[in-house]
Amino acid sequence: MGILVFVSSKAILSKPTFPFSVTGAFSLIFTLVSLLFFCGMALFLLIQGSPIFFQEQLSFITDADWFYRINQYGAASMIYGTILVSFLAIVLSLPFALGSAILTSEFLPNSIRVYVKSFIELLAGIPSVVYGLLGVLFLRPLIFKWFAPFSPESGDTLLTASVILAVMILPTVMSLSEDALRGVSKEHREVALSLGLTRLETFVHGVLPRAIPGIIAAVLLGLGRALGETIAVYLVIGRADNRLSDSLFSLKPLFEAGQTITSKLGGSELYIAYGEPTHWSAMIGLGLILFVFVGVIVAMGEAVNWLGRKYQHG
Amino acid sequence: MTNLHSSKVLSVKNISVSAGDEPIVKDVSFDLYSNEILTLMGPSGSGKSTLLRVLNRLADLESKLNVTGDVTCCGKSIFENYSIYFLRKKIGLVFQKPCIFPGSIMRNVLFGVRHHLKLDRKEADGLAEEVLKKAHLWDEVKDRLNKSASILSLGQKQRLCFARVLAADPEILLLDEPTSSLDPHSTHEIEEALLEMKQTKSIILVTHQLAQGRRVSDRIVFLSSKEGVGRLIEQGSVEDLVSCPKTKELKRYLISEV
Amino acid sequence: MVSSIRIWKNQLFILLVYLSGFITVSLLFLGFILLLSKGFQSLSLEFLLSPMREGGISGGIFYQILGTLILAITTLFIVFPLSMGFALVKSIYIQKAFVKKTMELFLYILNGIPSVLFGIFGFFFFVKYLGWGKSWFTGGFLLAMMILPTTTLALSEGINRISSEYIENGLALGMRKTQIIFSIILPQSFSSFLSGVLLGLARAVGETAPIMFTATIFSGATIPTGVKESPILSLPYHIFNLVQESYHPQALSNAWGSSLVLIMLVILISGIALPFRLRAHEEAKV
Repeated sequence: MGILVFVSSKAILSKPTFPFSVTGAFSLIFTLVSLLFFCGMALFLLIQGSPIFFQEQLSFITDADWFYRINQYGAASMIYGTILVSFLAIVLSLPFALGSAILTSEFLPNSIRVYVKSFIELLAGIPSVVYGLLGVLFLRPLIFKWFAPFSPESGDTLLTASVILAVMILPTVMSLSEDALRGVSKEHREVALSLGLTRLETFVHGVLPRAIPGIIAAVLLGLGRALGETIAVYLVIGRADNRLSDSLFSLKPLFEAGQTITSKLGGSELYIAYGEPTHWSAMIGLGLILFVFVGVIVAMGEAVNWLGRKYQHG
Repeated sequence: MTNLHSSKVLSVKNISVSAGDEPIVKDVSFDLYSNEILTLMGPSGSGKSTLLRVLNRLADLESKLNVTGDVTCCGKSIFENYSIYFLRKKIGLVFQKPCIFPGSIMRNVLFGVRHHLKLDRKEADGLAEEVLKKAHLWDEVKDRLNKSASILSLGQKQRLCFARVLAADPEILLLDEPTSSLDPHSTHEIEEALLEMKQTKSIILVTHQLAQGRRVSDRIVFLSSKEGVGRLIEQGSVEDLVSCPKTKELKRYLISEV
Repeated sequence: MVSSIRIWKNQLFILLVYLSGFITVSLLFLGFILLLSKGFQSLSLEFLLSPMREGGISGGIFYQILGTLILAITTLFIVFPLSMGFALVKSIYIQKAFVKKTMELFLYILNGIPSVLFGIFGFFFFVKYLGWGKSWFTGGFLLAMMILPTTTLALSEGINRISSEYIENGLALGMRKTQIIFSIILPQSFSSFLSGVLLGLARAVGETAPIMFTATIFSGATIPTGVKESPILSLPYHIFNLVQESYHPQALSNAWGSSLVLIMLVILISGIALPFRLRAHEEAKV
């Protein structure tokens, strides 16, 4: 005791000073602009999206029929499309993302690692419309040819959208997983190896348990991006409404055209909907549902981070 | 040697500092007279550094620290009667570890003062030269004022920090163990500089090196930790304390330091 | 004694890892090379500098490039002060940890919001409610809000990495809060901030969804005049439309070329960010 209490100097700076500084005033104003924007957006979704829920209640979510010309709105097929496409994208990309992450963090020498990591980060920056271009030109005919036995109508299917999304989120999930793996300190590996464990055992028992929170966070982030991706999905999914199969677990929808919330919102129907209150509310209602989905994912991500930190210190 | 007729510059009255419930320093009182070097000495943990930070009010902005008692400067309490920025210009503090800002030596020297004064190029150069000479660093850096300050040695950096504090022309200098990690050459230079500065300023030096205290001080305030709290044990002139220590704590300290 | 099953499993593991890694990297690499080569075939000086013709099927992409640049600059000018203010309030001006955490949570949520929702909100508020019609400003503003979390967090982290000695020394020299902000804190977190801004900008120029309802049209616009009713052309939206007419070979070649230009722009901006990213690591520890 008596050792100098090393003052948190940034706390020192937070005492309000009079007269109120110009910098402080402007900073506050700018902060409020951002907060106002977000509140505006949230309120907009809530206020303009809720009428459809008052009108149809839960049937908006459970009903699959969307015929705007006769004012019939049901979001089920789009919710189904969104969830199916996003989760399948995760399932498809995870093995490759994790495998590559393990490769670069555990096996590759540093010099090569840097190049691979830079390349992957480069890919993460490629705009979604370019992925859409590649998807339309290469993936679409490929899917049409390879899955001919399932007789798809064209190359525009939910499967195509899933694959495109898988490729799009792969760099992100891989990069973050690799960060999580590298975050585990070298000692854990060295101790395990020197006890005679194989690389596999070292990885599964020594490294993976500590990296799990980070990897889960990476997956959630990838999922969030898949849920929100509009352009690439729009271009390859076929944008066909009212496709909800009777059985939730049949594979057939994968080879048919479909619709996600984002592909619906990204179309010209938005302009058409503007003059028509019910139609507009239905569109915004879709946005509200998407917003809630993403909110849940972000909350789960934060919970995982929080749990992960507790576990590390526990 | 403190002139008995010199005036009181700073008066510390019954200062106690605690962090929440834990006391750090209790009931310390001493005075600083003009043109003297007063040394706060004692084993680590006795609260010397905390006391220094109370004096330029660096400590009282941390909400967890409670400070009771008063410190007056020329008769007026520093907690009420002075603008905090003016106070810190008047009372300069040199830290134990030199803190160099990114940029050239010139930028570092002028770092504090350029916020207080508007200086044109000539005035700035002149001021820099003046304080670097006072800090006994001028000869070693005069050819490379525009080069980065990060390549200087530790001792040179500390003298640079010293010059930086001098540039604001404080009347009172506080130094928190300024030479504890420095080489003998830099230590000597700084001690020489302090003895020169004494002519125009009043100085409080914190050190745990008895030899330095003996070399440089006029008077010593000895603090030690009693039951976990720093307290003032004895104070007086160097000769009095060193040759005739009255308390057992001081005697123990003198023996351990020799 | 090491059992052969363990060895066998281990070999399999290593094989799978290398295989998946190899497949991933080579496929992605091939796709990338394909993009570059097809793109370069369509590239020429005339392509870059001339306006489009025949509804975008032929001609060049000059005004599309211009439009994207206008959006980028607008976004830059808007996000710079906004995120600086937010980061300063969050890291310096606010003391309570609870408020700081809430602000950080706010940023994370904003970061996760799909870009199409920005576009729809912008459409409702700016295009219709305010009656501005499509405007380059709206596009820039929406893109700025979209990348605000990235830039703010970059600056915030840069500020947090500054060791408190610098601030203590500044205070001891009698500096005021604003002086400490502008002389110590901002300069020493600037590389981190700039890298965040540039990376955000690289993402923003490639976005289609926020601008397609609010700022851009496919043909007919050149240089905007004023703020209201001033749409612009843009590279992403141009590509988006061309892809939907890709059965036409000329449109296709135009799409490849435009994609290449867009990617080059993204790479350029990310590349400029690189030295700042490297410097950000040494920044706080001089």
